[in-house]
Amino acid sequence: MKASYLGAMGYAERHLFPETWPIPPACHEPRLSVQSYQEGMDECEFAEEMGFEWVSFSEHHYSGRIATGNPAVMAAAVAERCKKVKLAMLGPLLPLNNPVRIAEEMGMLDNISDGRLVMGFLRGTPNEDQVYGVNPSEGRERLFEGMDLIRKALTEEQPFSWEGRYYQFRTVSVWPRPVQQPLPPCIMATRSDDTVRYAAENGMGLGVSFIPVEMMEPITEKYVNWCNDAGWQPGPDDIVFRGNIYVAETDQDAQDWLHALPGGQPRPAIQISRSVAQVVQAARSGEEFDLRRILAGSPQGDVVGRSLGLNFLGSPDTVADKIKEYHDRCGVGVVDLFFQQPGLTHGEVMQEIELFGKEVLPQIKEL
Amino acid sequence: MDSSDQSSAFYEQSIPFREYQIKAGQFSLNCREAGEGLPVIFIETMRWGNRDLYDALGQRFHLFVLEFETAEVENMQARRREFRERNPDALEDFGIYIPKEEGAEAAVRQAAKALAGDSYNLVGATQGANLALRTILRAPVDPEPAESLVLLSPNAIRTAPDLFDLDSIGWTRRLVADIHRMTNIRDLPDSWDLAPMFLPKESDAELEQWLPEVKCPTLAVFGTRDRQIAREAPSTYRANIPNCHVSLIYDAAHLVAAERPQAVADVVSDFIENRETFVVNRQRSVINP
Repeated sequence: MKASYLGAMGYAERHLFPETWPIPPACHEPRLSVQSYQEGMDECEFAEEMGFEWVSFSEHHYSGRIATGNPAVMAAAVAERCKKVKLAMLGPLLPLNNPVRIAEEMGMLDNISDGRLVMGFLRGTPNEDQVYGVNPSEGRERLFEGMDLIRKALTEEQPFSWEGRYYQFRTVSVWPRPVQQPLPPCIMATRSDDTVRYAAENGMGLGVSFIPVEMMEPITEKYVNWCNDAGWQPGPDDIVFRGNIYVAETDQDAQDWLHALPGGQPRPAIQISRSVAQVVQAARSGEEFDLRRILAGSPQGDVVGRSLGLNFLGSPDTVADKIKEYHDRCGVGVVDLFFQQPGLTHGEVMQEIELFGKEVLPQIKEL
Repeated sequence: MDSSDQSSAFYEQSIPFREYQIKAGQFSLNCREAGEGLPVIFIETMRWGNRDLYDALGQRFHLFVLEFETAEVENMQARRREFRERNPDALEDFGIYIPKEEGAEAAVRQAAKALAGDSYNLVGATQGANLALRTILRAPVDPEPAESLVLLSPNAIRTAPDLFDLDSIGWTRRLVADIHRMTNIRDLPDSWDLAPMFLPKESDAELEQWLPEVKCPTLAVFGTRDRQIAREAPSTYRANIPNCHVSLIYDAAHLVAAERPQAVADVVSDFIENRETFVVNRQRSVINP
């Protein structure tokens, strides 16, 4: 089993951010931001040194909690710091982006890292649709078409034009081609049946994030069955779980840290206006929405958000046991870990990485 | 060449089509004509699925749709009658036959010259595309009569290796990516063998060798889910025809015009009007001036 370090590059004073998304640019202080990126890359480098085999990057916008609006830029910088780890793009938000641009970025990353790229695709959280003005009801279809276009763009040997539903390009001829032929490993980050099936039918891996093991188990069960139906069996690197972690010397230390947090749990990562959240969810589900009815319940324009909870909390043994459970029950072969919990300093994260590398990794590596 | 008017329409088009028969060589061809402007000769392989494409092309060009009338496929006419009886409300019929023997190319050239004069744009779909390509390659005239050549899902070159082993059900499934988009095809009995309409004689290695001889601007159109051809087929056209563009129609299989008619009509029309400059986007993107 492999461990992956999520290169979030969180802004050092993210614990002082206001409650709502987006975070105003006024909260940004350039020198602190420069320091935060340097520290984030130090963490990636140290994770590699401690035995992590992947570093992952994730596209999020308008917030310093995960400060990688363009994950390809971040991956390129880390590729020069880390010379062995796989660079896992988990990933670009396809509905928001030009798929040809993403294909070009993937091609470049696989070349500058000499074949260490793992490609991942996902739709994104509801707030992200607002960033580039994408209609939430079109996200799923854009995701499917974008994936097909990227895979074609990276594998076709001659220029072509693309006549899609959402994308039309009359000249596509992506350069450079990936080092890994015909394609770098691809992972679909999803929980929905239709996208899980797409991953299985197209020989792609599956990435699932932040849910408890008992919720993940039926998803991977379906995925493996659909892979078998499609004539292949997923390997250990094909099932990835991304989870929040806080590892301490003892279980008591970990509980003490948790209880010291406001509310006794990590804050929701993304809080948006209740009415906007409802409208986005309605659009994504293809439902009609009544603005006046929605607003009637929240005249003050209150915000909503969900704490994702900590999937791995405790001593090294406790964390290792929990990771093993994801392996044994869900077939997880790569665990992608978000260490930069709110309020933690760079020094504390480095200590956690060291503890994980010395005491957790040896327990899960041979799985 | 003889021609004679025929009053009955095959199926409803949203624009008026004139329909008549012509003789070319040893073949009898059915011709439907509509519109005005640049002449477009379209060699048809099938009737269902192309209706919207013909409407679109007929509104922008002087369109001549040619289909070979032949009794060569056993019981074809009887099957058509049976289909119409079973589906009295069907908008479209289910298919025709493209002859593979020598002489069909000459018949196309002869008919095209008679209908459109010395210069025209030649379009073919599936077997019709194979025939259009052979027609261009075997044209004895210089310069070529075609101003442009459009090949919709040609399958004679780099045919999928397992294509010849499929039964009729397998064939039907490979025609479309989503069977529910084809209102009529769902009603076809499994016993009806569609293969003769779409199956090339063989993967035509000789034809591939001659691709560099195609002189006119060429557009080769393929569905991204077309499993009648090998993966590398689209690239083969682009790599070997000097002025060739490949267009991939997302989420369509072999019958691209049936599954994504507007997308196909757009790219084909753009190409016929603008040839290789169709790559330049002329759409305005101003939101609020």
